Amino acid sequence: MTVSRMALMLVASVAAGTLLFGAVAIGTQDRTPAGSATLVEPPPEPAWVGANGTVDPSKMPACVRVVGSDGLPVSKGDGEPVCVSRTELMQPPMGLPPKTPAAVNASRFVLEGERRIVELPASSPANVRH
Amino acid sequence: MTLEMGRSEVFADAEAIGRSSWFARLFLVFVFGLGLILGSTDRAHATGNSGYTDSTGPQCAYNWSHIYRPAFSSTAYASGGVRSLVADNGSYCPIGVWSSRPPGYLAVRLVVWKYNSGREFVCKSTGYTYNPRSASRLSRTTSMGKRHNTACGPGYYGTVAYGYVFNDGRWQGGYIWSGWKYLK
Repeated sequence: MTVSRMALMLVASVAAGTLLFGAVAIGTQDRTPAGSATLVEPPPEPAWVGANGTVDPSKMPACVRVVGSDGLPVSKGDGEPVCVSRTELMQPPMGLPPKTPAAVNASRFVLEGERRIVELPASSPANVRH
Repeated sequence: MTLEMGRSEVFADAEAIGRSSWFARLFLVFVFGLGLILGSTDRAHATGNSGYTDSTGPQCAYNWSHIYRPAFSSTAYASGGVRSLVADNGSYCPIGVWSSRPPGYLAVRLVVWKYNSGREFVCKSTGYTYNPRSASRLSRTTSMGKRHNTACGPGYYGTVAYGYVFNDGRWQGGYIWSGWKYLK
């Protein structure tokens, strides 16, 4: 088998594999249900969201309703809807930093201790490394 | 004899051209496939926002918020984080230098919202988590469940990520919204 034929087969294999994985990747994307006119387009941004994703808690309802794992609003036994107060929901961390923060789920955190010079735009696209 | 040699050269040229043409076609297919993969990976499936939530002084907080399903993954995630910066040479943010903070000085929390019947509901909320070691950046991710078993059923989801840095005796930072993303 000549070198050029081997190269040809290699490129063909890579191309076929790439197409296959590409097709699988596209197939795993979330798509809105076909024929559901109300869900094809994303809903409007919440009234409390401003430009570039800024949040204005004062525009939130005083009590925010909660939805359950079945996707339905959660209610108490008497039928009254369960809700979380806006104040509680939007509260910043309280008091001083914890002296010994728990290292639970450490794999879920990304830490960087190094000090580098960086100049960031006021808002950057989602695919940049923060 | 001369004529035959000429013919074989012509055939050889034609074969070479045909081979290079096939190479060109395969290369294009390869590039197209690669584009499909790159276009489908991780952040291409993401909805998100980022920006300064507090840049009024020499110390500032930069936050981000995403909701996404990585390529080839059945699990979706909500994530967000904060980076601590300090203005360089006495200037003001957003031109700054990453600033390492002691353990517990960075805090991140996620609240996931779901759109349902014309209004927003809270689906999932984490408590604040803090950096266990000195760091200038802290991010947190929470699972939104697997496909067809999403945390609060199929629909549009969005994340509000809270990110704070403890500077000069106060928590500096805020929150940022990711935007809606449909999850099955």
